[in-house]
Amino acid sequence: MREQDSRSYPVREEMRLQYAFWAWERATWVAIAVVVLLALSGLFAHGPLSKRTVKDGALSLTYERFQRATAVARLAATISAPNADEVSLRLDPSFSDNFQIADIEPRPSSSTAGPRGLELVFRAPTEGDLAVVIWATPRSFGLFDLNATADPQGQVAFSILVYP
Amino acid sequence: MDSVIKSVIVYLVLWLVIRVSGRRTLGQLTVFDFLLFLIVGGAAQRSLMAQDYSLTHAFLVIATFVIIDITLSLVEIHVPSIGKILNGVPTIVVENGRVLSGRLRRARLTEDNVLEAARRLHGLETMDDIKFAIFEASGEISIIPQRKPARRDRAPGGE
Repeated sequence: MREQDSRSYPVREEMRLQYAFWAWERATWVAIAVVVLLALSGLFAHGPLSKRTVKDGALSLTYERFQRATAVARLAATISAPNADEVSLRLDPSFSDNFQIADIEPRPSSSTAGPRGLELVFRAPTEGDLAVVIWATPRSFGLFDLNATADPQGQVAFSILVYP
Repeated sequence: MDSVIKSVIVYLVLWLVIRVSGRRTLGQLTVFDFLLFLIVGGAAQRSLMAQDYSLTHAFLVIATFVIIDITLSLVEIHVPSIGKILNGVPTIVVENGRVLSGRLRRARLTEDNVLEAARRLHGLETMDDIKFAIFEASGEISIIPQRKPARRDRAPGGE
């Protein structure tokens, strides 16, 4: 009797099922290894594939395009305003609806929230560009299309995919 | 609602992980396997509870797990073919002292594992003393010894 054949004594074997399971088991190992490699690449947040920068005019925005629900993520905006006293950054209402801000560095000199979204006003730095970091946590999972507008100049649209 | 859905997803993922990590991990926990289960359990617990530590949520998670478990056990009884897929089937790895090496390799067992079980369960010394070694669905190795000692120089009192 060949090794692949099912024996009926002392136990009733089902070697076709067993070989199919071993094949499925190995395929699943490969799939798990692929998931780990994709995680290292940043497909599931925090990695090179996830980090993205968009620019328009004076505004440059670096964000994580893949995030996880309830995990805090970093959103960094750089606004160039050489001759301004104040610089503002406005995030559309969709941001406030779907993300909870944990911290803003530096603290804005004033902030308002209205139908146009969340507007943060900062004192312009004495030299160089204003660098703002917002730490925010997605409230739920899904794909969110967002907008950020800087004053004096710059508007960027960006999408964030939040995993459950 | 999300408590139940989360619990179902976590149960399925845990089942998949434990199932594909092999029966070996169920029957013969090494220190590494033990650590793996500890970490998997901790991660699953955190993802299930998230920020909701209420009694209601905990009760819903436990209730969902129990219901899935009962449902699966009923399915196993009434549809044996599904039970075989869920739990696996026994596989003979040693037959009349001959090691079925292809099966042993695929099951990620070694001859040493079989000999260890033979020593532990029946005090057997060599493969020739084993009539059948069966890798059970539970992850354990059962040993059926040869009726007569295969070696003549066996010490008195041995099985």
